[in-house]
Amino acid sequence: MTDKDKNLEILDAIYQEAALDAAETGKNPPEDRPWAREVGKRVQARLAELRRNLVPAATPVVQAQPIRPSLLALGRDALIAKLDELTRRLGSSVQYAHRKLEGLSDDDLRRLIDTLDPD
Amino acid sequence: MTMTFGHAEGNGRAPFVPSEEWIEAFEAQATEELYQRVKRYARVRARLVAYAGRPIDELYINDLVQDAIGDTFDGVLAWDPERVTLERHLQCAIHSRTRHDYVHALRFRQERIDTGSRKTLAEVETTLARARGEPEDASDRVLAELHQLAVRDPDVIEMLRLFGAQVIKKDDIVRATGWNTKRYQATRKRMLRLVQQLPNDVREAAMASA
Repeated sequence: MTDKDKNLEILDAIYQEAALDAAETGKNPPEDRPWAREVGKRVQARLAELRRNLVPAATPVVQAQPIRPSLLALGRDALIAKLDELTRRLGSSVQYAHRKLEGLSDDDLRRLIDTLDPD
Repeated sequence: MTMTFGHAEGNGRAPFVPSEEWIEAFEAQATEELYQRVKRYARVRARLVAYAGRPIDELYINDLVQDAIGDTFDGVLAWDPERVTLERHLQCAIHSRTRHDYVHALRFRQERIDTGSRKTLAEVETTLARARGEPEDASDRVLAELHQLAVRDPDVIEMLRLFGAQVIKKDDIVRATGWNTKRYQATRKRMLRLVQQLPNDVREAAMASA
């Protein structure tokens, strides 16, 4: 180890101890306060950005398949009758979230039937 | 005042994506008080670089802190919240950087002097640089002054000797000397007091405004 290397080790260690001591017990000049505030703002902005990056990207919208012509030909009463018939046929395996079918349009009914019985 | 954190581009690395726990740990520890403590640490570490002849100012000290934070956000400096506090992590980053800058400044200065000894024009430049008051390597003077101040304190002299032998950590010093913790702490305190007692022209050598 050269003298220069040794000097580096000594100075590095001295100033490590002195720096730790300053961090622990020292005081900042007044101008450090606005600086620290600005650092805080930037850090918060960056943290918010990192958080946003954690949210998964929105699922792409899938376009609905065209409604089958055989269903398009049916009126509302026929659609409800077909839905009842499907529900009876498929039994407990059929579950859908709509208790009152009045809230659904004719096309909603057609798509519901298509989902339950794609064939 | 302008500053940005992170977003290093074009380095070919995959972007760093920290976990929610990492973000929460950072947020919990990152206070204005912490930044000020880290800056106090950085301000003293910057003196080391100044001794190697590099002019140091407030911007350099701010950069030490801000770069440590930015590099952590970029994942260039890996921080494991379960192993070390954010403050200690930033201190380690600043320690490495100032040590690197010290060595670099010494080498740059040496190259400048070597070139100066070969070329007349460079000699003139070196002379002019000195006339302009550009800093020189003050580390020899600092250590000579410290030894002078500590001449009647064999424990401090021993501590400096151990530092030179890369025995730096408290446990290692205690093991090497046989001191108890109290004696180690007292010696450390006296050594730090001696650093404070270094004459201003030595202590503040090369410091532009730090």
